[in-house]
Amino acid sequence: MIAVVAARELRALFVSTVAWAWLAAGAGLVAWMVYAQLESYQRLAPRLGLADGAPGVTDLVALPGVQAAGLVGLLLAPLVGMRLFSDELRTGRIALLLSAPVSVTRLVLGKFLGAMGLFVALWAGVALLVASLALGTPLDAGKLAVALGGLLLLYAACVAAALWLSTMSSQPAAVAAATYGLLLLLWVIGQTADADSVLRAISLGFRFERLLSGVLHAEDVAYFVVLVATFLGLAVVRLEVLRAGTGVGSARWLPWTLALLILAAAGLGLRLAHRYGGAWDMSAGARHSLSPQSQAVADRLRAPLRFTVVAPDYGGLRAPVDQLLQRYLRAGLDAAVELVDPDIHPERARQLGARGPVELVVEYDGRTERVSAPSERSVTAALQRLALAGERWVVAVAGHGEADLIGQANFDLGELGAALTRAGFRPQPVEIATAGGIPDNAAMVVLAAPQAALLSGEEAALVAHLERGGSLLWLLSSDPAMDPPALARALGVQRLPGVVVDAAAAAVGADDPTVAVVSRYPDEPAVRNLSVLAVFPRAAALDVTPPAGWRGASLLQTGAQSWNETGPLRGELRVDAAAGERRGPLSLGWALSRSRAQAGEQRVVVVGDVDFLSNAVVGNAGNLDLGLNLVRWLTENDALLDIPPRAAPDLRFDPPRWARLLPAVFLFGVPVGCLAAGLGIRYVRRRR
Amino acid sequence: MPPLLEVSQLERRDAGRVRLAGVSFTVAQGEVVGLLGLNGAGKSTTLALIAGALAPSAGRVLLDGRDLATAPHALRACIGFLPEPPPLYPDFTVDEFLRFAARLRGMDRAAARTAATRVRERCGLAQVGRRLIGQLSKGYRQRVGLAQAIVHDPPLVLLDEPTAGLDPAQCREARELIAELGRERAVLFSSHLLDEVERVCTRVEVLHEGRPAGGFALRADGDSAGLEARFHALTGGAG
Repeated sequence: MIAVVAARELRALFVSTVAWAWLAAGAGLVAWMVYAQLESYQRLAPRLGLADGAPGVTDLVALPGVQAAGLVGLLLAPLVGMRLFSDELRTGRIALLLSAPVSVTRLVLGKFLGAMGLFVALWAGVALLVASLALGTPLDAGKLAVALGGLLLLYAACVAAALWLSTMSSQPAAVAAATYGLLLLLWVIGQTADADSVLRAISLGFRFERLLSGVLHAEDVAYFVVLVATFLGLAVVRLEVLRAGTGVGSARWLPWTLALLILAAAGLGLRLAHRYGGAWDMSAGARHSLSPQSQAVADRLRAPLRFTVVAPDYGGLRAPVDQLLQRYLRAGLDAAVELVDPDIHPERARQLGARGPVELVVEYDGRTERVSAPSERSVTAALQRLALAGERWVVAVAGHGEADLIGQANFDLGELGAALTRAGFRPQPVEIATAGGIPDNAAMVVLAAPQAALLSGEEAALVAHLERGGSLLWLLSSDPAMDPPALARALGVQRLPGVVVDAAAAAVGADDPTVAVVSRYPDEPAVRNLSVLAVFPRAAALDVTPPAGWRGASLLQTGAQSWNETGPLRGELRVDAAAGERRGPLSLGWALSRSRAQAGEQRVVVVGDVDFLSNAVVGNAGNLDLGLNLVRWLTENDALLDIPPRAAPDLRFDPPRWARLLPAVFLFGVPVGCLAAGLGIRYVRRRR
Repeated sequence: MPPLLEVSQLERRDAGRVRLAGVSFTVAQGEVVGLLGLNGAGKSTTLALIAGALAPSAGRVLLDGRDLATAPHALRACIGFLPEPPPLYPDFTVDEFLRFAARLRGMDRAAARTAATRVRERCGLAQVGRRLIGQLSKGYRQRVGLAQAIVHDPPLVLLDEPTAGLDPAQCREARELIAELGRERAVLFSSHLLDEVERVCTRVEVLHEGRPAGGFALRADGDSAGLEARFHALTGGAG
């Protein structure tokens, strides 16, 4: 019987020219929105690149289209819904319906489903339109599916609201006005509310937009179901009151009691959904969730965390941070989030040390980290720093013109230092002589190509550091005279004369033969995960004889076309065995390790080159990755990994030739077709 | 034979006012009963209460001995109801509307089609089956209303002012149809036209200001003056 009522409603809509005109306007508007977005996307696309979380066609074209379709629904629902019952009330046809052998619930459901028919048609058109973008790019199907599901739910809620109000008055215009008011109120009510406020929980706009974010919250689906059920339930109560009349005595309050019960049940439903509802990231590559790396860091945090977001409440500055933090909360991080508006509480913002327009302060276990450009990478890095027990100092020996871990010159190691900071370390230059030795809380010591010989005391301090079981990264300078001899002896390191030249350099595009290339790594823990080649300018080859008790392994091997050239680097170069030149493969770097007396392993890495990590070179090939992996191994933090950037799958839009006709079809064909259908049906039916 | 319809102590209160109280009467199969009363006497309310479009605040409606309140859907399917004004969808053709009316009363698609065709012939709508109801004359529309009330072949037919707006010729046709219906069913119809009631009805129930004012059988020979006099006596001389 629901089907009979629904079919009549649907037929009434599709024999009405007005409904076809609405459909034409709605479809045309959404198509215009989508193609306007597509045009600006195509201009923007080359600049988006591979930035972390770069949005693609789904985000910048399809979803704005779905959003526009949502607003079209918001505008159409009152027009379609205003007649559902008010016309029946006005013409007295309600008597026909109420005297039929059909329950009021079925009448209401039938009317609702019938009116939904028009919206399903509009929805199908929108779905087809955005799906047609898949001809030019691999759309993010999961994200789009959630958004389209949300659109249908939004339509259902709008129609249900209009249906309810149409039972309240026999004047369609009054119903339409009331429905507009109600829907707009529900739409905007959560705009400026706090994250946990009730207003946001009942806001149509907030719920719908969250469904466009690619993350499916069970709570949001429940919200729309509850909203539809509430409006339909209120409509049923209203019609039963019309049938039964307003009673006398206590019966008079029965409908009000019922309505209140329905609202209470709705509230309870929302509360339960909020409490127990899950969330699933449906986007391609789950790029709206934490990466496994961040998840691992989040899992290591034990105590509750506190995020304070200092951001003004305008210009959409807060939303990205909020969404970012939601990823961590969804991942099970026990954290409280506080928003501070620096315009309203400048004093508090100053206390928090906020400098940029958006600043995130993370507090954990009595310690604080600041993140001034919040991204998953920077926040996870902050969490990692907080998770590390105590401070992890990377001590760089300074005072002899060493390459500086926080320096910005071409030969300095500032880039590496910054990467280490992100990974939770604190690089600290230390002059051994002034500091009176090497601090024993150093996770690792870096000796990076001193340009002057170390004093004997300093050298002794380094050897003592080794004897204490400390880790060392020793990067040799190109001048053999600067190698501290005691250290070399202690580690059994010998430098081959000359500089390594490599014919393979030309193959990787270097015009300098003194660039050695390492393209394959042995199965050693320090380099196991690497697959990208690394380049080593003006490197020295090493010969290492691990001292007793140490285990040694060559990590960096050049190819067969390399040798250590001792002569001047001019003209044709050839191997001269008499001068001590050796044909490759040559070793450029070694890993040495031995068990510590206490827990763990003492680790040392010696590389016959410093330039490969210098600011000028470290960005080439896989050099930075190699450097980070070496540090992780040295500090026994092999588990700490950098987070790879994740971009949308649909960055390029390249449709086949014939598909270029589609805009014409959707922009003109469909709307004109709808109008023609409406007028044609009207003409045929009136002529009979 | 027990009466097909039995109404006892029917009462309707709405918005704090008593619209109808203490209405009791019966209609047997093969009877055409006229519900007489001035405007606002409660005729339409009584019919709507029997049809189930409104629910009584007190009292009972028994159909074939069963209470309408306990088996509303099964019993409502046995009632044909023509409210005033007739409940029509002007955007629909006559055929579409009659098929919808039949299906709304629980007939399946095929049966509804047959029933719509049959009732269309019977009510003289054969010529206008494919026309839009909104384009029909008042007389045709009234006939469509009548047709939807009997499309599902109900044993009890309730007609609210079935001849309102019809010209004399159409009135005569309608009366003939009602009389024909009354031969195999129970018909209860309201009117304020005394001569119409007199020509068609076997019995009359009079309502006055929401209360029953009495009822009496009509002789087959027709006694117009007698009916008018008794009606005025029962309604206190008004009208």
